Amino acid sequence: MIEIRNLYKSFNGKAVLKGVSLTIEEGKVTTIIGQSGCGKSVLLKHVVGLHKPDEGEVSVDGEVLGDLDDEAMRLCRSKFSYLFQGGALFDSLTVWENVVFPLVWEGGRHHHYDKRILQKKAAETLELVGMAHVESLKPSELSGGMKKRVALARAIVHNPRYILYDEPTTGLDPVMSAVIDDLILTLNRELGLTSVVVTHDMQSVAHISDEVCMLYDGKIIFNGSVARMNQEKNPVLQQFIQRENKGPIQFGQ
Amino acid sequence: MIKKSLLGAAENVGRFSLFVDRSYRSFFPFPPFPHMFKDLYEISVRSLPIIILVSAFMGIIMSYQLIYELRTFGAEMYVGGIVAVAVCRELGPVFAAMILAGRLSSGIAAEVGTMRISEQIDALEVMSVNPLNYLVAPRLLAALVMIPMLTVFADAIAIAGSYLVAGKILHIHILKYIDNIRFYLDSVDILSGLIKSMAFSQIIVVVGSYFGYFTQGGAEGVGKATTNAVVVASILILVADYFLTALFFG
Ligand SMILES: Nc1ncnc2c1ncn2[C@@H]1O[C@H](COP(=O)(O)OP(=O)(O)OP(=O)(O)O)[C@@H](O)[C@H]1O
Ligand SMILES: [Mg+2]
Repeated sequence: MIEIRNLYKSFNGKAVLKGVSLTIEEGKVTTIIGQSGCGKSVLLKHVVGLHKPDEGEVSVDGEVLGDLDDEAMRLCRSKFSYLFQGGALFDSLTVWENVVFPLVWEGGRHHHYDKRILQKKAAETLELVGMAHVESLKPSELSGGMKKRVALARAIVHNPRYILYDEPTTGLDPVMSAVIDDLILTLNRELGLTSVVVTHDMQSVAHISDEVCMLYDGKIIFNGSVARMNQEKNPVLQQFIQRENKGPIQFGQ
Repeated sequence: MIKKSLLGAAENVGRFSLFVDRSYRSFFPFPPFPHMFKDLYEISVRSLPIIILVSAFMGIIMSYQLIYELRTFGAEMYVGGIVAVAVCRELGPVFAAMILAGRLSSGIAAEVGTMRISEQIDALEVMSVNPLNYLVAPRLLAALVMIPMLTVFADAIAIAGSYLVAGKILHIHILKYIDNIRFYLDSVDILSGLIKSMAFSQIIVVVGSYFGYFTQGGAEGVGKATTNAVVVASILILVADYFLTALFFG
Protein backbone atom coordinates (compact mmCIF):
# COMPACT_ATOMS: atom_id res chain seq x y z
CA MET A 1 0.00 0.00 0.00
CA ILE A 2 1.25 3.45 -0.89
CA GLU A 3 0.22 6.31 1.33
CA ILE A 4 0.81 9.92 0.41
CA ARG A 5 0.19 12.28 3.28
CA ASN A 6 -0.17 16.01 2.98
CA LEU A 7 2.49 16.43 0.32
CA TYR A 8 3.79 19.89 -0.55
CA LYS A 9 6.30 20.63 -3.27
CA SER A 10 7.36 23.79 -5.01
CA PHE A 11 9.99 24.53 -7.62
CA ASN A 12 11.76 27.90 -7.49
CA GLY A 13 9.01 29.35 -5.37
CA LYS A 14 6.20 28.05 -7.58
CA ALA A 15 3.95 25.73 -5.61
CA VAL A 16 3.06 22.61 -7.60
CA LEU A 17 1.66 20.28 -4.97
CA LYS A 18 -0.23 21.93 -2.14
CA GLY A 19 -1.22 19.23 0.29
CA VAL A 20 -1.85 16.05 -1.66
CA SER A 21 -3.13 13.10 0.34
CA LEU A 22 -3.86 9.83 -1.37
CA THR A 23 -3.92 6.16 -0.53
CA ILE A 24 -3.18 3.69 -3.28
CA GLU A 25 -4.51 0.30 -2.41
CA GLU A 26 -2.92 -3.02 -3.05
CA GLY A 27 -4.03 -4.86 -6.18
CA LYS A 28 -5.97 -2.01 -7.71
CA VAL A 29 -5.59 0.17 -10.77
CA THR A 30 -5.60 3.81 -9.71
CA THR A 31 -5.68 6.44 -12.43
CA ILE A 32 -4.63 10.01 -11.92
CA ILE A 33 -6.08 12.66 -14.20
CA GLY A 34 -5.57 16.38 -14.33
CA GLN A 35 -4.54 19.24 -16.55
CA SER A 36 -1.24 19.31 -18.30
CA GLY A 37 1.35 20.83 -15.98
CA CYS A 38 -0.68 20.32 -12.81
CA GLY A 39 1.94 18.09 -11.22
CA LYS A 40 0.97 14.51 -12.02
CA SER A 41 4.48 13.48 -13.02
CA VAL A 42 5.90 15.30 -10.02
CA LEU A 43 3.51 13.39 -7.75
CA LEU A 44 4.48 10.07 -9.31
CA LYS A 45 8.18 10.82 -8.86
CA HIS A 46 7.64 11.42 -5.17
CA VAL A 47 6.33 7.88 -4.83
CA VAL A 48 9.71 6.41 -5.81
CA GLY A 49 11.73 9.07 -4.04
CA LEU A 50 13.02 10.85 -7.15
CA HIS A 51 11.70 14.09 -5.67
CA LYS A 52 11.92 14.88 -1.99
CA PRO A 53 8.80 16.45 -0.49
CA ASP A 54 9.04 19.96 0.97
CA GLU A 55 6.49 18.88 3.52
CA GLY A 56 4.47 15.75 4.14
CA GLU A 57 5.56 12.19 3.48
CA VAL A 58 5.18 9.17 1.27
CA SER A 59 5.13 5.70 2.74
CA VAL A 60 5.34 2.39 0.93
CA ASP A 61 4.22 -0.70 2.85
CA GLY A 62 4.45 1.31 6.05
CA GLU A 63 8.00 2.59 5.46
CA VAL A 64 8.35 6.34 5.17
CA LEU A 65 10.66 7.05 2.22
CA GLY A 66 12.34 10.02 3.86
CA ASP A 67 13.57 7.82 6.72
CA LEU A 68 15.20 5.14 4.60
CA ASP A 69 18.96 4.84 4.18
CA ASP A 70 20.48 3.97 0.80
CA GLU A 71 20.24 0.23 1.25
CA ALA A 72 16.63 0.32 2.45
CA MET A 73 15.77 2.68 -0.40
CA ARG A 74 17.28 0.22 -2.85
CA LEU A 75 15.14 -2.57 -1.47
CA CYS A 76 12.08 -0.37 -1.53
CA ARG A 77 12.66 0.69 -5.12
CA SER A 78 13.07 -2.89 -6.22
CA LYS A 79 9.34 -3.29 -5.64
CA PHE A 80 8.66 -0.68 -8.32
CA SER A 81 8.63 -0.26 -12.03
CA TYR A 82 8.28 3.16 -13.54
CA LEU A 83 7.27 4.06 -17.07
CA PHE A 84 8.62 7.54 -17.66
CA GLN A 85 6.57 10.01 -19.65
CA GLY A 86 9.33 10.36 -22.23
CA GLY A 87 10.34 6.71 -22.09
CA ALA A 88 13.81 7.41 -20.67
CA LEU A 89 15.35 4.62 -22.73
CA PHE A 90 19.13 4.41 -22.52
CA ASP A 91 20.23 5.63 -25.90
CA SER A 92 23.64 3.99 -25.74
CA LEU A 93 22.00 0.56 -25.59
CA THR A 94 20.00 -1.35 -28.18
CA VAL A 95 16.30 -2.01 -27.74
CA TRP A 96 16.77 -5.51 -26.39
CA GLU A 97 19.50 -4.43 -23.98
CA ASN A 98 17.15 -1.74 -22.73
CA VAL A 99 14.34 -4.19 -22.20
CA VAL A 100 16.37 -6.64 -20.13
CA PHE A 101 18.25 -3.93 -18.24
CA PRO A 102 16.20 -4.39 -15.03
CA LEU A 103 17.10 -8.10 -15.04
CA VAL A 104 20.78 -7.63 -15.81
CA TRP A 105 21.11 -4.93 -13.14
CA GLU A 106 18.73 -6.43 -10.62
CA GLY A 107 19.36 -5.01 -7.17
CA GLY A 108 21.88 -2.51 -8.56
CA ARG A 109 24.46 -5.20 -9.39
CA HIS A 110 25.46 -6.44 -12.78
CA HIS A 111 24.55 -10.08 -13.36
CA HIS A 112 25.89 -12.27 -16.11
CA TYR A 113 23.27 -14.16 -18.04
CA ASP A 114 23.50 -15.99 -21.29
CA LYS A 115 22.95 -13.51 -24.08
CA ARG A 116 20.56 -15.78 -25.94
CA ILE A 117 18.33 -16.18 -22.91
CA LEU A 118 18.19 -12.42 -22.47
CA GLN A 119 17.42 -11.83 -26.12
CA LYS A 120 14.64 -14.38 -25.99
CA LYS A 121 13.19 -12.76 -22.89
CA ALA A 122 13.37 -9.34 -24.56
CA ALA A 123 11.67 -10.62 -27.71
CA GLU A 124 8.86 -12.17 -25.68
CA THR A 125 8.29 -9.01 -23.70
CA LEU A 126 8.40 -6.83 -26.80
CA GLU A 127 5.81 -9.09 -28.36
CA LEU A 128 3.42 -8.23 -25.53
CA VAL A 129 3.58 -4.54 -26.45
CA GLY A 130 3.33 -5.18 -30.18
CA MET A 131 6.95 -4.48 -30.96
CA ALA A 132 8.41 -7.61 -32.51
CA HIS A 133 11.54 -7.43 -34.69
CA VAL A 134 13.07 -4.19 -33.46
CA GLU A 135 15.40 -5.81 -30.93
CA SER A 136 18.66 -4.68 -32.42
CA LEU A 137 17.72 -1.08 -33.23
CA LYS A 138 18.87 1.86 -31.12
CA PRO A 139 16.22 4.02 -29.38
CA SER A 140 17.09 6.94 -31.67
CA GLU A 141 15.83 4.88 -34.60
CA LEU A 142 12.34 4.51 -33.12
CA SER A 143 9.27 6.73 -33.35
CA GLY A 144 7.83 8.33 -30.22
CA GLY A 145 5.10 5.75 -29.80
CA MET A 146 7.55 2.91 -30.38
CA LYS A 147 9.88 4.28 -27.69
CA LYS A 148 6.94 4.43 -25.32
CA ARG A 149 6.17 0.78 -25.93
CA VAL A 150 9.78 -0.34 -25.57
CA ALA A 151 9.89 1.58 -22.30
CA LEU A 152 6.72 -0.21 -21.28
CA ALA A 153 8.34 -3.54 -22.09
CA ARG A 154 11.28 -2.55 -19.90
CA ALA A 155 8.89 -1.68 -17.09
CA ILE A 156 7.14 -5.05 -17.13
CA VAL A 157 10.09 -7.35 -17.81
CA HIS A 158 10.76 -8.16 -14.18
CA ASN A 159 7.90 -8.76 -11.81
CA PRO A 160 7.51 -5.69 -9.67
CA ARG A 161 4.76 -5.30 -7.11
CA TYR A 162 3.96 -1.75 -8.02
CA ILE A 163 4.02 -0.28 -11.46
CA LEU A 164 3.70 3.41 -12.16
CA TYR A 165 2.75 4.41 -15.68
CA ASP A 166 3.20 8.03 -16.71
CA GLU A 167 0.92 8.43 -19.72
CA PRO A 168 1.32 4.94 -21.20
CA THR A 169 -0.95 5.57 -24.19
CA THR A 170 -0.12 9.16 -25.08
CA GLY A 171 1.18 9.24 -28.62
CA LEU A 172 -0.20 5.85 -29.55
CA ASP A 173 -2.87 5.16 -32.13
CA PRO A 174 -6.32 4.11 -30.81
CA VAL A 175 -5.83 0.42 -31.56
CA MET A 176 -2.45 0.29 -29.87
CA SER A 177 -3.88 2.25 -26.94
CA ALA A 178 -6.54 -0.42 -26.50
CA VAL A 179 -3.88 -3.12 -26.60
CA ILE A 180 -1.86 -1.34 -23.91
CA ASP A 181 -4.98 -0.81 -21.78
CA ASP A 182 -5.65 -4.51 -21.93
CA LEU A 183 -2.05 -5.25 -21.05
CA ILE A 184 -2.28 -3.01 -17.99
CA LEU A 185 -5.46 -4.78 -16.97
CA THR A 186 -4.01 -8.24 -17.56
CA LEU A 187 -0.93 -7.46 -15.47
CA ASN A 188 -3.16 -6.19 -12.73
CA ARG A 189 -5.81 -8.93 -12.81
CA GLU A 190 -3.55 -11.91 -13.40
CA LEU A 191 -0.34 -11.00 -11.62
CA GLY A 192 -1.92 -8.72 -9.06
CA LEU A 193 0.33 -5.75 -9.86
CA THR A 194 -0.76 -2.62 -8.08
CA SER A 195 -0.88 -0.03 -10.82
CA VAL A 196 -0.94 3.74 -10.89
CA VAL A 197 -1.70 5.23 -14.27
CA VAL A 198 -1.37 8.89 -15.14
CA THR A 199 -3.36 9.54 -18.26
CA HIS A 200 -5.27 12.08 -20.32
CA ASP A 201 -7.21 9.42 -22.17
CA MET A 202 -10.68 9.41 -20.62
CA GLN A 203 -11.69 6.29 -22.54
CA SER A 204 -8.91 4.35 -20.99
CA VAL A 205 -9.74 5.84 -17.58
CA ALA A 206 -13.25 4.43 -17.93
CA HIS A 207 -11.92 1.09 -19.08
CA ILE A 208 -9.14 0.33 -16.64
CA SER A 209 -9.71 2.24 -13.41
CA ASP A 210 -10.70 0.81 -10.07
CA GLU A 211 -10.11 4.21 -8.57
CA VAL A 212 -9.86 7.57 -10.27
CA CYS A 213 -8.39 10.64 -8.69
CA MET A 214 -8.18 14.10 -10.08
CA LEU A 215 -5.39 16.50 -9.29
CA TYR A 216 -6.33 20.13 -9.57
CA ASP A 217 -4.58 23.21 -8.24
CA GLY A 218 -2.12 21.12 -6.25
CA LYS A 219 -4.72 19.03 -4.46
CA ILE A 220 -6.73 15.88 -5.01
CA ILE A 221 -10.24 17.12 -5.65
CA PHE A 222 -11.84 13.79 -6.42
CA ASN A 223 -11.10 10.22 -5.47
CA GLY A 224 -13.50 7.37 -6.21
CA SER A 225 -14.75 4.81 -8.71
CA VAL A 226 -15.56 5.55 -12.34
CA ALA A 227 -19.29 5.28 -11.65
CA ARG A 228 -18.98 7.83 -8.87
CA MET A 229 -16.86 10.06 -11.06
CA ASN A 230 -19.61 10.23 -13.67
CA GLN A 231 -22.18 11.24 -11.08
CA GLU A 232 -19.96 13.67 -9.23
CA LYS A 233 -21.21 17.22 -9.45
CA ASN A 234 -17.86 18.95 -8.98
CA PRO A 235 -17.78 21.43 -11.89
CA VAL A 236 -14.03 21.12 -12.42
CA LEU A 237 -14.28 17.35 -12.76
CA GLN A 238 -17.33 17.60 -15.01
CA GLN A 239 -15.64 20.09 -17.29
CA PHE A 240 -12.67 17.76 -17.56
CA ILE A 241 -14.78 14.68 -18.29
CA GLN A 242 -17.08 16.48 -20.71
CA ARG A 243 -14.14 18.04 -22.54
CA GLU A 244 -15.58 21.55 -22.42
CA ASN A 245 -13.64 24.73 -22.92
CA LYS A 246 -15.89 26.80 -20.65
CA GLY A 247 -16.02 26.30 -16.92
CA PRO A 248 -13.98 26.76 -13.80
CA ILE A 249 -10.77 25.57 -15.50
CA GLN A 250 -9.59 28.59 -17.39
CA PHE A 251 -7.56 28.31 -20.54
CA GLY A 252 -4.08 29.69 -19.98
CA GLN A 253 -4.25 29.21 -16.24
CA MET B 1 25.17 40.51 -6.74
CA ILE B 2 28.74 39.71 -5.67
CA LYS B 3 27.48 38.09 -2.50
CA LYS B 4 25.11 35.97 -4.53
CA SER B 5 27.76 34.77 -6.95
CA LEU B 6 30.14 34.04 -4.05
CA LEU B 7 27.45 32.00 -2.40
CA GLY B 8 26.82 30.23 -5.68
CA ALA B 9 30.51 29.43 -6.02
CA ALA B 10 30.70 28.12 -2.46
CA GLU B 11 27.66 25.96 -3.07
CA ASN B 12 29.24 24.57 -6.23
CA VAL B 13 32.48 23.74 -4.45
CA GLY B 14 30.58 21.95 -1.70
CA ARG B 15 28.44 20.04 -4.14
CA PHE B 16 31.51 19.16 -6.20
CA SER B 17 33.35 17.77 -3.16
CA LEU B 18 30.35 15.65 -2.25
CA PHE B 19 30.12 14.44 -5.82
CA VAL B 20 33.80 13.42 -5.86
CA ASP B 21 33.37 11.61 -2.57
CA ARG B 22 30.29 9.76 -3.78
CA SER B 23 31.95 8.88 -7.11
CA TYR B 24 34.89 7.14 -5.46
CA ARG B 25 32.64 5.39 -2.99
CA SER B 26 30.58 4.04 -5.87
CA PHE B 27 33.37 1.78 -7.13
CA PHE B 28 31.82 -1.33 -5.64
CA PRO B 29 30.21 -3.44 -6.99
CA PHE B 30 32.99 -3.25 -9.51
CA PRO B 31 31.85 -2.21 -13.01
CA PRO B 32 31.86 -5.15 -15.43
CA PHE B 33 34.80 -5.10 -17.80
CA PRO B 34 32.88 -5.21 -21.11
CA HIS B 35 31.11 -2.14 -19.87
CA MET B 36 34.45 -0.32 -19.56
CA PHE B 37 35.65 -1.38 -22.95
CA LYS B 38 33.85 1.41 -24.77
CA ASP B 39 35.41 4.02 -22.49
CA LEU B 40 38.88 2.54 -22.82
CA TYR B 41 38.50 2.64 -26.57
CA GLU B 42 37.13 6.16 -26.61
CA ILE B 43 39.91 7.48 -24.42
CA SER B 44 42.76 5.71 -26.16
CA VAL B 45 42.29 4.89 -29.81
CA ARG B 46 39.92 7.71 -30.63
CA SER B 47 42.11 10.29 -28.93
CA LEU B 48 45.30 9.10 -30.55
CA PRO B 49 45.29 11.10 -33.81
CA ILE B 50 44.95 14.48 -32.14
CA ILE B 51 47.53 13.55 -29.48
CA ILE B 52 49.99 12.49 -32.17
CA LEU B 53 49.43 15.66 -34.13
CA VAL B 54 49.85 18.02 -31.22
CA SER B 55 52.82 16.25 -29.61
CA ALA B 56 54.74 15.93 -32.85
CA PHE B 57 54.17 19.59 -33.54
CA MET B 58 55.22 20.50 -30.01
CA GLY B 59 58.51 18.59 -30.36
CA ILE B 60 59.27 20.08 -33.75
CA ILE B 61 58.59 23.68 -32.75
CA MET B 62 60.46 23.39 -29.48
CA SER B 63 63.51 22.06 -31.23
CA TYR B 64 63.50 24.84 -33.76
CA GLN B 65 63.22 27.52 -31.14
CA LEU B 66 65.79 25.96 -28.85
CA ILE B 67 68.38 25.41 -31.54
CA TYR B 68 68.03 29.00 -32.64
CA GLU B 69 68.56 30.29 -29.10
CA LEU B 70 71.16 27.75 -27.99
CA ARG B 71 73.33 28.50 -30.98
CA THR B 72 74.17 31.90 -29.53
CA PHE B 73 75.88 30.04 -26.66
CA GLY B 74 77.20 27.26 -28.86
CA ALA B 75 75.13 24.86 -26.79
CA GLU B 76 72.85 23.51 -29.54
CA MET B 77 74.03 19.96 -28.90
CA TYR B 78 72.01 19.89 -25.68
CA VAL B 79 68.70 20.34 -27.41
CA GLY B 80 67.74 16.68 -27.02
CA GLY B 81 68.21 16.68 -23.26
CA ILE B 82 66.35 19.93 -22.76
CA VAL B 83 63.40 18.89 -24.90
CA ALA B 84 63.16 15.49 -23.23
CA VAL B 85 63.19 16.88 -19.70
CA ALA B 86 60.68 19.62 -20.48
CA VAL B 87 58.37 17.24 -22.31
CA CYS B 88 58.42 14.40 -19.78
CA ARG B 89 58.11 16.56 -16.72
CA GLU B 90 55.69 19.15 -17.88
CA LEU B 91 54.61 19.64 -21.45
CA GLY B 92 53.65 16.07 -22.33
CA PRO B 93 51.32 15.48 -19.37
CA VAL B 94 49.81 18.96 -19.43
CA PHE B 95 49.27 19.18 -23.18
CA ALA B 96 47.80 15.69 -23.33
CA ALA B 97 45.52 16.50 -20.42
CA MET B 98 44.39 19.77 -21.99
CA ILE B 99 43.56 18.07 -25.26
CA LEU B 100 41.74 15.30 -23.45
CA ALA B 101 39.85 17.81 -21.33
CA GLY B 102 38.56 19.27 -24.59
CA ARG B 103 37.63 15.87 -25.93
CA LEU B 104 36.57 13.84 -22.94
CA SER B 105 35.29 16.27 -20.32
CA SER B 106 33.02 17.80 -22.91
CA GLY B 107 31.92 14.43 -24.28
CA ILE B 108 31.17 13.03 -20.84
CA ALA B 109 29.35 16.20 -19.77
CA ALA B 110 27.22 16.12 -22.92
CA GLU B 111 26.36 12.45 -22.59
CA VAL B 112 25.62 12.49 -18.88
CA GLY B 113 23.78 15.80 -19.22
CA THR B 114 21.56 14.42 -21.96
CA MET B 115 20.86 11.41 -19.77
CA ARG B 116 19.91 13.75 -16.95
CA ILE B 117 17.46 15.86 -18.94
CA SER B 118 15.87 12.88 -20.67
CA GLU B 119 15.29 11.22 -17.28
CA GLN B 120 17.66 8.33 -18.01
CA ILE B 121 19.49 9.00 -14.75
CA ASP B 122 16.17 8.95 -12.91
CA ALA B 123 15.44 5.66 -14.64
CA LEU B 124 18.73 4.23 -13.36
CA GLU B 125 17.86 5.32 -9.85
CA VAL B 126 14.42 3.79 -9.95
CA MET B 127 16.02 0.53 -11.06
CA SER B 128 18.26 0.76 -7.95
CA VAL B 129 21.34 1.24 -10.10
CA ASN B 130 23.70 3.80 -8.64
CA PRO B 131 24.17 6.26 -11.54
CA LEU B 132 27.69 7.04 -10.37
CA ASN B 133 28.62 3.37 -10.34
CA TYR B 134 27.16 2.97 -13.80
CA LEU B 135 28.38 6.18 -15.41
CA VAL B 136 31.35 7.58 -13.53
CA ALA B 137 33.29 4.71 -11.94
CA PRO B 138 34.07 2.87 -15.20
CA ARG B 139 35.30 6.08 -16.78
CA LEU B 140 37.47 6.98 -13.81
CA LEU B 141 39.14 3.60 -14.09
CA ALA B 142 39.48 3.68 -17.84
CA ALA B 143 41.02 7.14 -17.70
CA LEU B 144 43.40 6.15 -14.92
CA VAL B 145 44.76 3.36 -17.10
CA MET B 146 44.69 5.03 -20.49
CA ILE B 147 45.67 8.63 -19.95
CA PRO B 148 49.14 7.89 -18.46
CA MET B 149 49.71 5.50 -21.35
CA LEU B 150 48.69 8.16 -23.82
CA THR B 151 51.02 10.57 -22.05
CA VAL B 152 54.01 8.26 -22.42
CA PHE B 153 53.10 7.96 -26.04
CA ALA B 154 52.80 11.72 -26.41
CA ASP B 155 56.22 12.18 -24.76
CA ALA B 156 57.79 9.74 -27.20
CA ILE B 157 56.20 11.39 -30.21
CA ALA B 158 57.33 14.83 -29.09
CA ILE B 159 60.91 13.62 -28.62
CA ALA B 160 60.83 11.93 -32.00
CA GLY B 161 59.52 15.17 -33.49
CA SER B 162 62.34 17.11 -31.93
CA TYR B 163 64.86 14.68 -33.40
CA LEU B 164 63.41 15.26 -36.85
CA VAL B 165 64.45 18.88 -36.62
CA ALA B 166 67.68 18.42 -34.68
CA GLY B 167 68.83 15.63 -36.94
CA LYS B 168 68.11 17.69 -40.01
CA ILE B 169 69.63 20.98 -38.94
CA LEU B 170 72.47 19.86 -36.70
CA HIS B 171 73.16 16.52 -38.37
CA ILE B 172 73.26 14.78 -35.00
CA HIS B 173 73.26 11.01 -35.21
CA ILE B 174 70.25 9.44 -33.57
CA LEU B 175 72.34 7.38 -31.14
CA LYS B 176 74.16 10.45 -29.98
CA TYR B 177 70.86 12.24 -29.59
CA ILE B 178 69.50 9.43 -27.45
CA ASP B 179 72.70 9.37 -25.42
CA ASN B 180 72.30 13.05 -24.71
CA ILE B 181 68.71 12.51 -23.63
CA ARG B 182 69.69 9.63 -21.37
CA PHE B 183 72.31 11.77 -19.73
CA TYR B 184 69.87 14.50 -18.80
CA LEU B 185 66.59 12.65 -18.31
CA ASP B 186 66.05 11.08 -14.89
CA SER B 187 63.53 8.41 -14.11
CA VAL B 188 62.07 10.91 -11.63
CA ASP B 189 61.22 13.17 -14.55
CA ILE B 190 59.23 10.46 -16.26
CA LEU B 191 57.66 9.22 -13.06
CA SER B 192 56.55 12.67 -11.92
CA GLY B 193 55.00 13.21 -15.34
CA LEU B 194 53.09 9.95 -15.04
CA ILE B 195 51.82 10.73 -11.58
CA LYS B 196 50.67 14.10 -12.83
CA SER B 197 48.83 12.55 -15.73
CA MET B 198 47.09 10.17 -13.35
CA ALA B 199 45.85 13.11 -11.34
CA PHE B 200 44.79 14.92 -14.52
CA SER B 201 42.91 11.86 -15.75
CA GLN B 202 40.72 11.93 -12.65
CA ILE B 203 40.09 15.66 -12.99
CA ILE B 204 39.04 15.21 -16.61
CA VAL B 205 36.46 12.55 -15.82
CA VAL B 206 35.17 13.89 -12.54
CA VAL B 207 34.63 17.42 -13.82
CA GLY B 208 32.90 16.23 -16.99
CA SER B 209 30.64 13.93 -15.01
CA TYR B 210 29.89 16.58 -12.40
CA PHE B 211 28.66 19.17 -14.88
CA GLY B 212 26.70 16.54 -16.77
CA TYR B 213 25.14 15.13 -13.65
CA PHE B 214 23.80 18.45 -12.44
CA THR B 215 22.56 19.66 -15.82
CA GLN B 216 19.36 21.65 -15.73
CA GLY B 217 17.25 23.27 -18.38
CA GLY B 218 17.10 21.23 -21.54
CA ALA B 219 19.41 21.35 -24.53
CA GLU B 220 20.67 24.78 -23.54
CA GLY B 221 21.66 23.36 -20.17
CA VAL B 222 23.61 20.58 -21.84
CA GLY B 223 25.47 23.16 -23.90
CA LYS B 224 26.38 25.12 -20.79
CA ALA B 225 27.44 21.98 -18.94
CA THR B 226 29.73 21.04 -21.79
CA THR B 227 31.45 24.43 -21.94
CA ASN B 228 31.76 24.69 -18.17
CA ALA B 229 33.24 21.21 -17.99
CA VAL B 230 36.03 22.05 -20.42
CA VAL B 231 36.83 25.40 -18.82
CA VAL B 232 36.83 24.12 -15.24
CA ALA B 233 38.74 20.94 -16.10
CA SER B 234 41.44 22.99 -17.86
CA ILE B 235 41.78 25.36 -14.92
CA LEU B 236 41.91 22.54 -12.39
CA ILE B 237 44.55 20.76 -14.45
CA LEU B 238 46.76 23.84 -14.35
CA VAL B 239 46.20 24.34 -10.63
CA ALA B 240 46.93 20.69 -9.92
CA ASP B 241 50.03 20.93 -12.09
CA TYR B 242 51.31 23.82 -10.01
CA PHE B 243 50.86 21.97 -6.73
CA LEU B 244 52.25 18.69 -8.00
CA THR B 245 55.30 20.44 -9.43
CA ALA B 246 55.83 22.16 -6.11
CA LEU B 247 55.50 18.79 -4.42
CA PHE B 248 58.02 16.99 -6.65
CA PHE B 249 60.58 19.70 -7.30
CA GLY B 250 59.85 22.34 -4.68
N1 LIG C 1 12.56 19.52 -12.15
C1 LIG C 1 11.73 20.57 -12.17
N2 LIG C 1 12.19 21.80 -11.95
C2 LIG C 1 11.36 22.87 -11.96
N3 LIG C 1 10.04 22.80 -12.19
C3 LIG C 1 9.51 21.60 -12.43
C4 LIG C 1 10.32 20.41 -12.43
N4 LIG C 1 9.53 19.36 -12.68
C5 LIG C 1 8.29 19.87 -12.84
N5 LIG C 1 8.26 21.20 -12.69
C6 LIG C 1 7.07 22.06 -12.75
O1 LIG C 1 6.04 21.39 -12.07
C7 LIG C 1 4.83 21.53 -12.74
C8 LIG C 1 4.18 20.18 -12.90
O2 LIG C 1 4.94 19.39 -13.80
P1 LIG C 1 4.53 17.92 -14.19
O3 LIG C 1 5.57 17.42 -15.10
O4 LIG C 1 4.26 17.15 -12.97
O5 LIG C 1 3.18 18.14 -14.98
P2 LIG C 1 2.16 17.03 -15.48
O6 LIG C 1 0.94 17.15 -14.66
O7 LIG C 1 2.84 15.72 -15.51
O8 LIG C 1 1.86 17.54 -16.94
P3 LIG C 1 1.69 16.69 -18.30
O9 LIG C 1 0.34 16.13 -18.29
O10 LIG C 1 1.86 17.71 -19.37
O11 LIG C 1 2.78 15.66 -18.29
C9 LIG C 1 5.11 22.21 -14.06
O12 LIG C 1 4.62 23.52 -13.97
C10 LIG C 1 6.60 22.24 -14.18
O13 LIG C 1 7.00 23.48 -14.67
MG1 LIG D 1 3.61 14.53 -16.86
